[in-house]
Amino acid sequence: MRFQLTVVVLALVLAPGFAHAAAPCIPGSQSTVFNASHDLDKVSVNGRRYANLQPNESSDSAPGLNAATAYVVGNHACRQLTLDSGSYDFRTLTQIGGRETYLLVSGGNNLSIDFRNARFLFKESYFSALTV
Amino acid sequence: MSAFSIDYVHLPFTELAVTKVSEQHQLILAEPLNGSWPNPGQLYKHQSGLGPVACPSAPDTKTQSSSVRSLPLCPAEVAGFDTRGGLPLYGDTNWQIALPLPEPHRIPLDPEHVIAAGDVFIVAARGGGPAIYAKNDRADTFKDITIFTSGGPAIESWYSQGMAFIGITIEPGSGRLVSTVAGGIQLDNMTGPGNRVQNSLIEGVQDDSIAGYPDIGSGSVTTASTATVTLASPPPESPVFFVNSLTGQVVGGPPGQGHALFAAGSQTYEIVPHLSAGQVGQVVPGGVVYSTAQFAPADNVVVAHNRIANSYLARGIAFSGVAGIEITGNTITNTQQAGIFLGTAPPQYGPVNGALIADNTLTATNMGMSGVGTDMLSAIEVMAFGSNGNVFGGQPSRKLFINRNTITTTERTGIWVGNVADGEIDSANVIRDYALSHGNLGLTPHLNDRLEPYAPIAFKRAVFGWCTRNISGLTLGFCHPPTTPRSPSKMPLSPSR
Repeated sequence: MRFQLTVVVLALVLAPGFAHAAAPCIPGSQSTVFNASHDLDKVSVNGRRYANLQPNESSDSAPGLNAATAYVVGNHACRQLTLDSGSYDFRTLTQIGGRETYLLVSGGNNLSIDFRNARFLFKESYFSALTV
Repeated sequence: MSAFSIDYVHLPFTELAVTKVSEQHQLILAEPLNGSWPNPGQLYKHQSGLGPVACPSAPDTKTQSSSVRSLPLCPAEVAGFDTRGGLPLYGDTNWQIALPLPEPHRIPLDPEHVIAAGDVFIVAARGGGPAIYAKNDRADTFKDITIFTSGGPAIESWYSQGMAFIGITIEPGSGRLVSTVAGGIQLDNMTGPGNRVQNSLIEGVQDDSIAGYPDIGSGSVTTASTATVTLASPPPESPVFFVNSLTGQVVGGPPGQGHALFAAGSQTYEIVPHLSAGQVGQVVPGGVVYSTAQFAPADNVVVAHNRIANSYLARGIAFSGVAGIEITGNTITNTQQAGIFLGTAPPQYGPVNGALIADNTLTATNMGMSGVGTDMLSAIEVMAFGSNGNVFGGQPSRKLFINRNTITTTERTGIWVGNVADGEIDSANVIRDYALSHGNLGLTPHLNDRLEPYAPIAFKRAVFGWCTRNISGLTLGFCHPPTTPRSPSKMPLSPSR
């Protein structure tokens, strides 16, 4: 009986997402929807802060959207990634497995991504826009 | 993942207005369309720094596109496509163009009496991409995504299963004639069932619009006896069956009795039940072993209610070596090669098993006349070729149903079925305006030599069978060596000529 109980407790502690269960998707909010146009500046990704992504500006959105993606993939309280509608430019490449890509989504079980009909404009057609 | 569009600043192609054509001097003169497109030299200069036509000696600058201008130019090839009235001349495609050009607007090529002044000529630098690359995924859904261009296919899915592509739009951007300079949606090395492409639009791509093949295990037989078999690589999961990659002969299931393989030494396996002496002769040389698990009843691939239009090259919907596939309710218009193609080519592409092709509408498919290839036998084609490129005499593929399709306007046969046992071609298929080429093999026929003698005859048929067995509704066909055609097809056909 004690063995069974120990197994159950261990399973709960080690279950993916358990450690994040107490960490909300957005600090100070109950929302499970992370909007990269409003919430990105509220969190730290790999020790770095990013500005919210603003549509219809000429700035490079690749670092910010990749940071937002990495954040929601790593925070199991987040169920959806979104951003404001509009146009976004992408110029910075990320390397993954010997390939170059502008956007990278690595992992993310039970995560939905809804970009609300945003128009993504990437610089070079030789490179992948999105790698999953 | 849903609801966004992908476009690029630097396109992988340019559009040129043809101002003069010289058949005598084998060149065309072409200016950037509307003065706003780059000339081929500018396109090449940019792309050469990114990979598709890069100098082997050039430094690795793939991540530093700003240094493109400093790269040396070196010989390379890009593809040329002719368009007229806003549509690709997919029947006569494509031209290989050596770059850099001696002069920006003089393109040396054989116009082949196709290209005319006033046409818009596309120069495409294929390479890189795809726009969306997915690998090792399970049960991901991509929905309502628009892709305007890519240097490679629009979407490549590798080693994945349960992938759903719903409501995908691949189309040229505003003011353009081309979308991707490669294919549309590719499902490569599918590792399991449940893959779907539905309610999508693929327009103006320059390779197969929707295509794929499974990641099936196989092993080539090096020696065999009645009791043992030696394989060049570890075998797939038992039970297994054998397909001779030279003849198409099948030993074992399905639906017969499969064999189990038990390790009996380095690369040697005991076969249970044992083979007969006759079966050994069918297995070597050229035997390939596949798992019957390949024929699990699951819906491995569903391609339904998509619209494919105006592709510049290759096939509309094309899958190889796949089991459990449904291709239904699609509308396919204007393709160079087959509108719908299912293929077998051991060892990589095993038999096709359990395929339904129904309720599709194909208009002006398989219209290529710049040379007939093995995927250009008909509007709907199911065919097998051996590892040596030759046609098969056996029937490795099974259970094929072709029902209620409407085929209008095609250069050769309406429906060509080869090397399949069991199935049906029902009487509700409607085939009009077929055999428009009158058996013509095109400018530079490159059919398999053993098939070529029969092609001009076969290409005059609405429905044709090649080495088939027990296909209801299909009573006309040849095999190698050829047999005498027996009776006319029972199909209710309405030929226009």
